[in-house]
Amino acid sequence: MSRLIRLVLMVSALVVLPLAGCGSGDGAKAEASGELRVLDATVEVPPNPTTASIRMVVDNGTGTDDELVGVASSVADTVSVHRSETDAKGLATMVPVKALKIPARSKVTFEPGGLHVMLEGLSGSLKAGTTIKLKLTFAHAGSRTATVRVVPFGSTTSDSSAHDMEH
Amino acid sequence: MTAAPTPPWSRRRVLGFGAAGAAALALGACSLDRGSSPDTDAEPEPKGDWSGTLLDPPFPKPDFTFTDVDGKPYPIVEKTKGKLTILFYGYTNCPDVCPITLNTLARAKDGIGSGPGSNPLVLFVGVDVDRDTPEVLKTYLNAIDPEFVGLTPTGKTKAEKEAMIVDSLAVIKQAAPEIGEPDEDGNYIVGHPSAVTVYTADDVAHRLYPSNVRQSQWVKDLPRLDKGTYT
Repeated sequence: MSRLIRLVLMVSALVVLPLAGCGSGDGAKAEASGELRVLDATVEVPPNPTTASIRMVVDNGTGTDDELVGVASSVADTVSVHRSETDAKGLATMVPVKALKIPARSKVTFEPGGLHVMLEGLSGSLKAGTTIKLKLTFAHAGSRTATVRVVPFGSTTSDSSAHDMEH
Repeated sequence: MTAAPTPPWSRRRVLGFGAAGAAALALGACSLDRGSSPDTDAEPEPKGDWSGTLLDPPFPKPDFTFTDVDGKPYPIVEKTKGKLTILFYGYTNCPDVCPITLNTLARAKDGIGSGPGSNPLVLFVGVDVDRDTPEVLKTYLNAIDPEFVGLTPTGKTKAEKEAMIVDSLAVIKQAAPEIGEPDEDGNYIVGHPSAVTVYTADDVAHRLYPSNVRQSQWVKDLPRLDKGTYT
């Protein structure tokens, strides 16, 4: 391989890997259900009782590109969509996502180390086995209210459920 | 928004680090399979299915006395002498990378069970000086693994504490944390080094790991490191 092509590939990898690998939004084609649905919403009991993260899958089974433009819940003072990233200096940080594209007939996965709905200023402690509500607002599909299962710490972010980009 | 400036310590102190090193670390942070050094082409590194990046020369330990969750002095070099030691910097309001990384390490200990690598000393340094108090760190780590050691920087002033964090990170060639601007609710985002440094019995670190190493990979690497091998 020529050095130029190698260089281009290396630079591409630098740019793409953090987005594709550490981020989420796998863009996998969903079966066309004809609906926009929120699936598998969970929140782990957090080690810091004031701050938690919701994981879920947004399945846009419609033929229309959509955008997640708002999240809200009565259980926390601040609710926002964030994406974890590692910057050029090697700092792990989070980037607020104001509008998240949900392409037609695609699933976007909120997964560990990537997209999450951050709950800050939780009003009470989350208890495993209970549920909370999350309202999501989409630009086209309107709003959906997801029932979010509260699960034990570590139960959805351990090992293979998490860091899929190792290989 | 308030006019309060971002604490300048992060920016001011990050200047000493080379861009090439930072790029290499960023690469290592998300891509586990390549060990790159700043001046050479990335070659597929490990034989033997190692994760992380080989450090040559190895990193020393930050020779600083932090404060543990009970308020007692914790001189890192003295306390960790001869022990397999994992050093990670994060913050307790971190909802994603920090708890996942720490939980993965805790579950790896379970996975190894007994023998070499099963009892690493895990040090978690809270970089968010205002919110990561010893009490908060104690609650946080007790929920993950009560054996993990929570450390806060020692100092009379916030500036002294932040300086200890930055100076200790410089020893392992990591960028200074960055504290974001608070929103109207007072929440703010913190950028913290994503790297996990693992020290072996010879009191240096031969490998630097990204934060997203799998439990199964730690289960492979930690026993080998504990036995003194790293390539």
